[in-house]
Amino acid sequence: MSRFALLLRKDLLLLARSRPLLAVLIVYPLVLSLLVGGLLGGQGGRPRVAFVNEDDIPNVVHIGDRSFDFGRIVRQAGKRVELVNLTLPRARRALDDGDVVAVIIVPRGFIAELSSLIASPEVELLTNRNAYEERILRETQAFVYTLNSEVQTEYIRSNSHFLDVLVSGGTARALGRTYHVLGLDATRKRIQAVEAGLPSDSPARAQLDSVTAFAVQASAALGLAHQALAATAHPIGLVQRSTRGRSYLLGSQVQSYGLAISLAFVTLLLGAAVLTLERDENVLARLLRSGAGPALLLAEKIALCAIVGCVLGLLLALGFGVAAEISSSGAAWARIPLLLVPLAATGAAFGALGCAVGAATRDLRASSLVGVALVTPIVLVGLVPRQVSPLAADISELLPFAPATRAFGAALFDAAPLSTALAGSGHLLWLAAALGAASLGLFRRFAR
Amino acid sequence: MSADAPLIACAGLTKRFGRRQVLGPVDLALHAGDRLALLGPNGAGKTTLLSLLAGSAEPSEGSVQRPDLREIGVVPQRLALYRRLSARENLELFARLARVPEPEAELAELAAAVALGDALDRPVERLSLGQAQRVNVAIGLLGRPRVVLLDEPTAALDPGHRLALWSMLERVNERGGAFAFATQNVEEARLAADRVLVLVDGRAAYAGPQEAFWQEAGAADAAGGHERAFVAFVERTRSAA
Repeated sequence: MSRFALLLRKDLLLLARSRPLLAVLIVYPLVLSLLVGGLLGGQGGRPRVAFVNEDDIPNVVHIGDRSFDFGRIVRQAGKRVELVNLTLPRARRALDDGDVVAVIIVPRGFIAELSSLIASPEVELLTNRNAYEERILRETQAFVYTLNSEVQTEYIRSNSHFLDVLVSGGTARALGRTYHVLGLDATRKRIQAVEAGLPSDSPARAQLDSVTAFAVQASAALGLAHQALAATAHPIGLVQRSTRGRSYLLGSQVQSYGLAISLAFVTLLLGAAVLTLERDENVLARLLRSGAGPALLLAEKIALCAIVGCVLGLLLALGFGVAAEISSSGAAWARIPLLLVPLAATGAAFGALGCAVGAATRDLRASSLVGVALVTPIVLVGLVPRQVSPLAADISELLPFAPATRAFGAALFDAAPLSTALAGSGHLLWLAAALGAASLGLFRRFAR
Repeated sequence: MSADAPLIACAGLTKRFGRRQVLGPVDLALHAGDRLALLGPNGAGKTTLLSLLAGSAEPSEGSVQRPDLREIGVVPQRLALYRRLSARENLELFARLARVPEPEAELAELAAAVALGDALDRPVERLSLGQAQRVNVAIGLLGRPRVVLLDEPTAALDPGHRLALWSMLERVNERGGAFAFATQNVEEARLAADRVLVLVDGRAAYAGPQEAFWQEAGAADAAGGHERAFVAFVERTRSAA
């Protein structure tokens, strides 16, 4: 067995025998999976949206002679978002305070404008930048679509009724007045009755026949127009079915950040701890005398971090997958093998950074403290979007967190994941090599 | 290397930490069969000298002539063992890392020498200090080194195991090797060494045969024997400096 393998085996054995550390490594991904599961599950919940009804629209709305159930449409929208009725100032305040994620405003004069049939009234949507923004836009579009559809259906029903009355006769109301209409069918019957009373050679018969034929043709044509009107209103029918597709936006971010944050903390602290442990156990000089030189020792520690990163990351990914399945957002099981290389590269990069900490500090407590102090800003600076601070984003590229989240995101969610995931992994391995070289310098300077 | 050439030697060996000189200059040579005791009060520089001879630290001045590092066995004062590994696993790990030529035979020999019995497979953290120290010494003897440097190796050992340790080290001499050990115990130095190097405040106050040292220290005249004579020698040396 090579010295590298002997050292690796020894460290894995020590890790397995360190029960508190092992417990942390098992419990940590479980707890994080539950937290992420909660977040994923939360996406299925109803975000609070303020509903500002400035036109005091009642439950049943009358436009002209027609009426439609506005309350039912609002209740339908309320199944997907939690609609809270507020006044406009209160709604704006709630949006600023983050109590609601959006405000839907039905402005004053909405019904009057709708009744005029001259201009289209508008529903206003206010949002701030939040994870629900896209979803709220979709929900509001659905709300407006339903409203449009409902109004349209009422008009079609009303116009169809006119057509029915024209064909079959009856009563219709328009522009506030009631009309009694004989109808084409009754007209045809009356003409036929009159025609029956005429002598067989009467010239009027031919004229009446042509009127009767017109009444029959008109009835048939209006019957077709009735169907055509309905078809024009709904050229393509939409049947909505619930699917189990993943909710892309929040799911990908949460899982990628969850993996990257976990690996950042665990592998950096592990790298620092395993190197410091050699000094705490007073075996460093003995190892070096036994032929395990500094470069070999550091390479072995970095490899250990890569292995632990891989195992921990896979456990987390499986945990996230189960959580996603439970929350009905669906898991990317087939993508999990693609995570292997990015996970190992992330473990190696953070492990190398941890080794630098371990080489520069004197004991386990100091290395843990410095490790935590170092990893926290690395994660925080990695969370700052480039749009907010290009400088922070540039700094992040020199640290492992940002490339790790990019590689994990690509492996789990990109349509063409390989190139981005491998590029991210390459970036991480380059960082691991650079940080490993820095660790070696520090080790030679301080650790011996 | 000729038959009378030293196995390890140093000349003008000096160590400074910043401006503070903690050792030297020291001249020393260990030949085959030598048994050297490093005596001196706390902080005299015994551990520093052993580190410089072992190659674990670099001297500020002077030089060390030593064999290949694999031919030098080192037993540090503090245990240098993985506490969560068993005694056997520690021995095996360091034997394989050091590429000991016949690890199985040597491990069996050392396992018998440390006389741990069933405790050999127990984690070091569950061994007594004396048991652990025997393992610590055994690892220093892996690979049958020609020179063994030990820093207070018997501090935690009971009399029986102290004698067992000296027996193990006698085998080093029998193989044509030499050993040097630092100790605070004057009686132990008298028992196990034939030469002494006395360090006082980093300087070599005496280097030579043991009998000559005790004569110079006036042990025969001192009431209270060798220990009192040694303390008086140290005080005289400091006064003279």
